Amino acid sequence: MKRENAFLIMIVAGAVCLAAGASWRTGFFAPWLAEILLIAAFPVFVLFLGLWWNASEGEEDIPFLGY
Amino acid sequence: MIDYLIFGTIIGLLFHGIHRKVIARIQGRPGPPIWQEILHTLKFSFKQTWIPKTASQTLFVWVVLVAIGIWSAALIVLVTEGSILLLFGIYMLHKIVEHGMGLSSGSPYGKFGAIRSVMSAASELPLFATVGAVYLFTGSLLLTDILAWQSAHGPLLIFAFPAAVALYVVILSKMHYSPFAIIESKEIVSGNMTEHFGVWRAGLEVAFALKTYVLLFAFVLLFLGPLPLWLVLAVMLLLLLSLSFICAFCPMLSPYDTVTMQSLTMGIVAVYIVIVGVILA
Repeated sequence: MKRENAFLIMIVAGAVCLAAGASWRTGFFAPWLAEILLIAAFPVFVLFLGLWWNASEGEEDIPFLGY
Repeated sequence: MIDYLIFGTIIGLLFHGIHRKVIARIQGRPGPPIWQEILHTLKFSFKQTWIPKTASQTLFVWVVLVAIGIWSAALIVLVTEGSILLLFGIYMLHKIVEHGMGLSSGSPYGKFGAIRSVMSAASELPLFATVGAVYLFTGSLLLTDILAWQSAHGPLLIFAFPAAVALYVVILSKMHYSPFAIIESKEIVSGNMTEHFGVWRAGLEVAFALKTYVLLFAFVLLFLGPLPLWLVLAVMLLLLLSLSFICAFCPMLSPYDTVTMQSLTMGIVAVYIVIVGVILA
């Protein structure tokens, strides 16, 4: 997976988590909706955070073999 | 709400580290530092990740998402004081996750773990008994009502001690290195988790940390009633230490002995329920 895609999905899932958490406290959404959004978005956030961390950044260097 | 999930994950990982440390000290080894499982999860999330050629790609990835999702849902049920039937349903889903995790990779070790997971479905039986006994005393399956009942009458641990033992056996069955942990025993490498490495394993570590936190938290809420958070955490830690002692001293049982022990626990609690609920009622 491309690093940018993983980053984008992670950011969106994280934003949904934060929005759901905030609306659960403020009552902006119905509590059941906030809970479902959080349950759906939290796993995606965790996985894509890891995928973003270890996605390659394109052309990698040739490993250093010593002098 | 997200703060509860992050807090539960960190405490759950810390509990896993303490569990390993206690087992190691009892067995005369120095053991890893207690934050090892947190480092372990971070390490896995940085490792190179791919999907094995033999795996069912969809199931292989989705099973990790579902594992985190169901234990997040379980924690939300506890925090919002919902129905313990939902908690029971989530526990059933976890069985499907365990099975799917093993089958999805195509590895023979994973498949053995998956088959053992189905065979050890008896580990869910004591949970039936717990739910039945709790309903018998409190007349409700809503955590709000159960907590209110305990505030008025005292901890359910005193009134329904065998049911508490049954839930304790359920939690013990789900601990790493437990005598009942046949699905991940070392003769089948890591059992159903064998092929889940890198980010997938990090996700599973998060799910299992939430699971440990939820099960211990549920025990405290169901049998000791409403307590301040620091006391809840202290009791959870004591429970964990007792579980670690058992895990350190008991060898892993054979799959059939596991089923026998769990069925026996269920049978004893069922007799207790009949005596209390039918004969003495």
